Amino acid sequence: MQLNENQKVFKEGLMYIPADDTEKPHLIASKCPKCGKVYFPQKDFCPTCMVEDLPEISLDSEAVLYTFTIVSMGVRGFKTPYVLGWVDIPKDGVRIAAQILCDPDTAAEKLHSGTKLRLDIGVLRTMEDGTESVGYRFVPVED
Amino acid sequence: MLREVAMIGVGMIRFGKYLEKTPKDLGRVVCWDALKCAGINPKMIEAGYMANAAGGALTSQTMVLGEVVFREVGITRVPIANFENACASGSTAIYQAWHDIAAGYHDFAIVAGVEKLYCGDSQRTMAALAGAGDSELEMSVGVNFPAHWALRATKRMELFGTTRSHYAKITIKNHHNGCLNPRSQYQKEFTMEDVMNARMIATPLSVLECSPIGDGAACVILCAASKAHQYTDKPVIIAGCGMSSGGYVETRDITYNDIERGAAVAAFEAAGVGPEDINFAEVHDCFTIAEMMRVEGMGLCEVGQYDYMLDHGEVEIGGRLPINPSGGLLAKGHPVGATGVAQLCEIFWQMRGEAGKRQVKNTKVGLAHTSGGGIAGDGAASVVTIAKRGF
Repeated sequence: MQLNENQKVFKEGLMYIPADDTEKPHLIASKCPKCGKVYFPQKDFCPTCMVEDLPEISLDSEAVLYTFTIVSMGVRGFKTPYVLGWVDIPKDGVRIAAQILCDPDTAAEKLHSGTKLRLDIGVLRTMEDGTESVGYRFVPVED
Repeated sequence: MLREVAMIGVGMIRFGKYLEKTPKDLGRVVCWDALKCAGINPKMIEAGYMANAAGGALTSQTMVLGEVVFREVGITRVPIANFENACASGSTAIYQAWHDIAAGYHDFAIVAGVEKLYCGDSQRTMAALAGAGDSELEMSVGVNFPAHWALRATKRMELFGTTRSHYAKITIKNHHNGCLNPRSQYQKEFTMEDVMNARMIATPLSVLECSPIGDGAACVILCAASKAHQYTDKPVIIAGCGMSSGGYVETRDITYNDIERGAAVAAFEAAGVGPEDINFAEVHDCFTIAEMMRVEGMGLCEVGQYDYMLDHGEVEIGGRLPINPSGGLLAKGHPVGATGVAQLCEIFWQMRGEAGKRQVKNTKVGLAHTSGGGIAGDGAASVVTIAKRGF
């Protein structure tokens, strides 16, 4: 995805956005070399072990839905209704809140805890100044 | 050794919409009422604690609300601090005042909570309230407070077989109680059908399962229990207070609130009582599911048992463990900074037998609980206060 001049990621350092379809996007995390805990968003220190300069890692691409809701009264700038979920990355022990790209009318039948998901990068909402906020979201993977 | 702390006077306005009033207008009324209720001269007050959460975002009165309001009722030349801790702001101020009196720093203190959420622009109010979450991360991907709780409500239905009608029973119960409380913002009964057909906010929660926007103020006068009988024959003792932040363990079961357990255990320990001793409770029902998870989280019943208690009327005013006899946040209203202080007002009236039509029969030991904020699917601040009769 090539961001145009009206688009901006909502926070730097969270995700790798490939320029075209030949590569896949990934989320950027850090991992404590001592206790193995994975931090997303990345952290420059592990408060448990008090280790600094944690190495950067890519979060695992396998993601599953933990729970979801269909939001009718949403955060300003989001087109409603939208589907929102907590998404588990089991290998890394990380849980992420994110939009689930799924038709809100059929989401209740289609989604369940354990639904397999893949990462996607796109426009999440339009800000008050008209800029588009770009970020991560997940798409159900058809079995 | 900590000293016992007593409530000797309270004041509270009916929660609602006061567009033409300022925070100072609302605050001075409840402080004066509480001082009169206690029969104490303001010059006796040695410290002031003011709670407010959204004033910085929604009003022009920021930073020194406590000093401004307490000056109005003649409280000057004393230490005054302002408390901001999301929906737990009021109970955080209570916690601090309780600590300071129990530790012997002061004999008499005033605690007030004031909030003006109505500003004529509901989007602005909603944006201000969203500041109680992780604004950088979760708000950016679309999480607001209804969604935060709806995600838990969905999971609970999956894990426990809880149904939408269980959630609705909390709305019906609390609005019924609100009809009996003259200070309740809403005084209207709702039926199962009303809740089921109400506009959806975030599945499975409808608009009737979310606490309303409101303005309000409440105040309590606290003192060292040894001095209380000079002012009243019926002091209510704050036997213990506990507070905790979240654990934020990412892969935890989000249907269990361990933040409430942390605050409750500390409060029970300080009060020297256990969950089985509690006769009634005011619990932070910002959403229907929240009441359920918090009663269970504090250990007032087993995790997953609340559905049964609702089905069997156990948490109604005449039941085994009345929860939110005041109408709770859902009916009485939720002017954020005032909420925790108003809960203590209700405990005070209930224990003294002054709660009118909503009077609970057995009120020897009561509990008030508020929780504020939401971070990583967990609570940010939880405060539990346990009260006993001092007469």
